[in-house]
Amino acid sequence: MIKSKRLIALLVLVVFTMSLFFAFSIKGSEKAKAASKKVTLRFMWWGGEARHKATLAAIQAYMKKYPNVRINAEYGGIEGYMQKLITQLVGRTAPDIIQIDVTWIGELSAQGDFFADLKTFKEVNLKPFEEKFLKDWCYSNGKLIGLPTGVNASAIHYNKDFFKKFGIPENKTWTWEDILTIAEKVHKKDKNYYLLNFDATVCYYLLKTYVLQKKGGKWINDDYTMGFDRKTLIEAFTYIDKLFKVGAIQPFSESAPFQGKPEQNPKWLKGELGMLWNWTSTFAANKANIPSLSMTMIPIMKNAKSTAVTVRPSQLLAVNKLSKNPKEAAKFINWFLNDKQAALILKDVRGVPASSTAREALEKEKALDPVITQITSEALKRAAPPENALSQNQELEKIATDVIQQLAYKQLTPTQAADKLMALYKQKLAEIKRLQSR
Amino acid sequence: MTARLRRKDLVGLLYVLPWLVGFLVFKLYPFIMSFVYSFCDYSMLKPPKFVGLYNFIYMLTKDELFPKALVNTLKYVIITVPLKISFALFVAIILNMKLKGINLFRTVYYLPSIFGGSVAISILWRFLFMKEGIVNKFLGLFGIEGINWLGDPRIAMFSVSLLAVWQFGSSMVLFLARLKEIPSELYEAALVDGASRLKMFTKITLPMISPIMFFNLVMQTINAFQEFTGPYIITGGGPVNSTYLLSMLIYDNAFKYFRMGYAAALSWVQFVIILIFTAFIFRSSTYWTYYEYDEGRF
Repeated sequence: MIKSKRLIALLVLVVFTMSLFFAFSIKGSEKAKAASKKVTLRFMWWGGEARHKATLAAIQAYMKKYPNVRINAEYGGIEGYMQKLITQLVGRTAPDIIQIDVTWIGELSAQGDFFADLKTFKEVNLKPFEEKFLKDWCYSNGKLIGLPTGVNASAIHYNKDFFKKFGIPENKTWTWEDILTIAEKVHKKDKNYYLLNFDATVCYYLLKTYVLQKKGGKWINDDYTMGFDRKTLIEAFTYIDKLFKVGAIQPFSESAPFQGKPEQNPKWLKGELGMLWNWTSTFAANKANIPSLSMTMIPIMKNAKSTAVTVRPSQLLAVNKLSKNPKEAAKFINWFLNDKQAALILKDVRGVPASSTAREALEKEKALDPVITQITSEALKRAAPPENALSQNQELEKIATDVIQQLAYKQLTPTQAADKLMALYKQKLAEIKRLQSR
Repeated sequence: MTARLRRKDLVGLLYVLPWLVGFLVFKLYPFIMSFVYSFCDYSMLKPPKFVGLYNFIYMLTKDELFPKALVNTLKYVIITVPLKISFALFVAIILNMKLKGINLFRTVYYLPSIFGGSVAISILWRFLFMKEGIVNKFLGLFGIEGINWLGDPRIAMFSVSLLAVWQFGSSMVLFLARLKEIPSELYEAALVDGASRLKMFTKITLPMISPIMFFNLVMQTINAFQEFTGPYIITGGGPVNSTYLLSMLIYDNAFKYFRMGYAAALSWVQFVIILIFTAFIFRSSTYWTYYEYDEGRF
């Protein structure tokens, strides 16, 4: 009995001494911090190799300029990024500076208040940004959630060597019919070659674009109804079906392992696929793999009701509302996006900079790929109004890509595909409405 | 005496405390909470809202992917488990032979299980089995026309299962350990009686290893029902959802669509299915497992 009492007493003593020791050491370090005003910030982003390298170099330059600031980089691919971020936001462990996608704003703002209002910081200079661009994309409930890293547009990346091989002129304005006829010629000439590097996800973009150009309006209306009719949808599916039939798209049965990541398809990397529908912000990363890469505009119908050309921020940089140093974080974002030195390091790894000062610095040094500048400015001229959050819903995307795969595997005809998509959309939209309106 | 016991208890308790805390915080609490959430709408960012049996009714009546994922998962289990166990047994029997350098082979054959389920290996698998991959090139050397391993919805599930079968090491080691324990007198006696090799295998080896067979069957069935990484990386559930497993449906709902309540409901259904299968194997085992201590009863 006595022995056990002694043991407990000993334990209590150990715990007590240790807690005292920790308490003092924490106090001590706080004092040290206050003396030199050292600030540590965490900055999280996603991207490819080129973006990581440039971002890390920019961080180094900033820390050299402001030695009291330490920035811990947390980066990786897009895969799993949002999942990690949401978990961190819920667990209150999210970094100070966060790269987010504009498509997440709606959902996140509906669920809570996670980001600081950037327009309230005197550290941030908003003048270099176009006001309408910020209004369209970066605000939610009157709050400036984040600042755009770049101007991003949907475009078609193409392989110049491929075009040369098949005698396709580079400076042409593509139409929907051209794609069909040229693709057929290419595949007839060489069975190993396909004009389009399209997987189900890209086909979904094409489907939306085709329908919006025909119909105008929105893919999904704000009242949870479909913004298209059966006839137009059947027409769009018939077009996609033709693409498969003439050999414009590599059969899904062959590209299946690269579903969702067409830019990794070995056939694309070898130059046996000609065109990829992608964002201008990924051009630098894709060009690193295919040196002869260039870009052109997406096809637009004659008398299109909407161009369906998406021009949006590449990403936003936001400040965590729970950050202990929000001002320092805002100051870094301001430097990162507006400063000339930063611009020259970052170049176009997030597309053409959205800040005019950064853009001008790059133009002056001729540091921007002229292709990106040209396509971005052309896209800006024809930009469609911003998409609503519902039109970008991931559950609806899953339904559509499943239906497109069934069409590609000849399990459905275009009419059946349209009917199936509409039936499943109707049911899913009712479910989304139930979840969002509670 | 009591003081000594208590002190012993206390020390023991201290030793298991890290595990106990881990178990309570990371296992038991989530286990209970997932049950609670399965009756809620819960997007993580907003507090959960009780919706009764809605998630379960939605799963059974409206979710088009649920029946598909369920059938796919059963297919996966039915392909993977017997293949993996028989392959493990086959290799164990070979490695049980008294050969020179056999230890090296034992190590080599166990290697896949060490790095087996990782993302890197799954990516490697994708490149091995794609249409112009190494496997088809190898088959081409023998004039065999390439198979569309990952692109054909009828074959993809089989190709994905091969990755699991390839990680047969842990089952194999257990078999091997048991095989080494079988008294050689049994085989010698059988040999004297003129029994064939097949007879020896079915009448001596199989009954003697049946407890291990039972253990492997239970473990591998549970593992197969929960499989995620391999199929997710290799095919992402495709083509045309032919390898879309229950675990992927849970993952998508939880982390892509942030429908945690529904994902919790799905995982409870998965749990119950695993429970039923395990119970069935346990029940059936009395008819086909043999324990040496059984003899003592007579």
